[in-house]
Amino acid sequence: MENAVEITGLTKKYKDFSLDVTAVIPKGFSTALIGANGAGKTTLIDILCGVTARTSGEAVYFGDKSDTDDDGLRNRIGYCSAANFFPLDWKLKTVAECMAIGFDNFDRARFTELCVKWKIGSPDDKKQKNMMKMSDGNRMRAALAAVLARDTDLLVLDEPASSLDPLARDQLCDMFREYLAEKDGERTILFSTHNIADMEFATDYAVFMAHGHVIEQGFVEELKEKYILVHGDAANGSGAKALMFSYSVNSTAFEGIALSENSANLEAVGAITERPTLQQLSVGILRKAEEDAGK
Amino acid sequence: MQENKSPLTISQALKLYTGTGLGGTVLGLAAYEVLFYIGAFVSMTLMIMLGEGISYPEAVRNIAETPAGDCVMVFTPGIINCIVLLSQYTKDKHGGKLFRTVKGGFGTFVRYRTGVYNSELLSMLLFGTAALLLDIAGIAKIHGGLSAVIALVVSNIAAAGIVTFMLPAKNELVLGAGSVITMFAITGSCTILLPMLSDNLIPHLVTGIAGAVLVAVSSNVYFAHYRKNRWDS
Repeated sequence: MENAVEITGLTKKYKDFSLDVTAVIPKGFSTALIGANGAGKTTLIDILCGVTARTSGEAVYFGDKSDTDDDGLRNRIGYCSAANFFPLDWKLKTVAECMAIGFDNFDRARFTELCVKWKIGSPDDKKQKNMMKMSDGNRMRAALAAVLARDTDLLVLDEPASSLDPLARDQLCDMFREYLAEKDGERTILFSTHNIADMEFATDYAVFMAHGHVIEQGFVEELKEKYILVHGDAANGSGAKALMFSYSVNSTAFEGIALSENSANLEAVGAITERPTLQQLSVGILRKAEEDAGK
Repeated sequence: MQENKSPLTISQALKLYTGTGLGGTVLGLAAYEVLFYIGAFVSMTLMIMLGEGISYPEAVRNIAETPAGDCVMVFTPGIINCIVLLSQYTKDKHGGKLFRTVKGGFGTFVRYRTGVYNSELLSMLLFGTAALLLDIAGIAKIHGGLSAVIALVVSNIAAAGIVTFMLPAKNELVLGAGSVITMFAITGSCTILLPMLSDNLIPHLVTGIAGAVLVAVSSNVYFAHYRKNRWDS
């Protein structure tokens, strides 16, 4: 398997937070960065896109490039932040003009097409709203249209789904698939999200982060083989708990995830096992990280 | 100082950061400054007209006997220049993260800031020309005449240089208030005092050269600080 990005010992030290990441982003797939608030997702994305400087470590892009200050590499990475991507006084026309100056591979016709498709207007309209007057969702649509109008090899999006409505999230998943399919196997997407259920369709590979570290990563289908969802009556919970990876219980039922190898033993103590969704897997893995951090 | 490898021109960098190129920025700034000056001067003149029951030309003549009108001429472009100088596009501001990923990176930011200084200087030249024309037309009189206008332009360069030294300040309230006070103190005192110092323009020339040196030194200090503490942080 070829990797679009290989991250080795990448660190960033702040007064109250440290990031230390080793991970890979496989080429040709869509990778979701999943973690609780403050896990370091945005910091990692910002470092990978040259927005924030690293303290140490290395990230190698496309096999041999590592200098995010190099325009050749910059041109291949399409980046969009979670919020405030464009100045508030900009209109779609300004976005189109400025993106054309800032990036060699910006296609104005494609930007216009995407803006029209998402019903946020057109950079050619006579009357246009500025960003300040747009809703959060439309601002994100404008930012996504701008970044998707560039011919890039790696798309890095920080929380692209958070301000979108369910329908728009569905369209975003389709768009991810279209982006990857346009240059089959050559393009890669990395995005962070809290809307795991909505974005599952667009996720091939998942990197789970907690407290500045990667705690699990792998192809979603492989992770769904590795772990099982476990649930049952609260009365059977104590017997199952010791065999589980993460566990939560209320007055009537218990739930969590466990390694697949424990499936038979769990069923023997009265637990029900199922193939987890990415959402259930994420909750289990992140809960385990919180429990470990609290010890 | 490192060579700037940004492929963008100063005007392109300014357009990228602000949505308007050098020409548009200069004309826009000058238009705001002139309209602000006319509005402030005419308002003051109308108040005198109504208070003393005299005509507009008489009220303008009264104002021209003291440097009061020159103070209005100092304040109006000063406020606009300060606002433009204080725009830094840090990561937490709208557009801040985008600008870190564009062609040329930090070099493009340096070009943008250079464009800010250039547009302020050029807009001040246009403003000074407009102020002289308004003086000739009798709409707004300048007590210090041409000498005061030249003093205003050169002192704005010096003030921009000193305000640039203040830009690394983290507290935005302190930075905002401090820069406006500094801008007014320098341009106000120079515009009033330089015409009184000498009949020739040597003090103006010295102030202008000192201002240019200040801008060059302070912007280099600012770029080094910004790169280390804000761009690469």
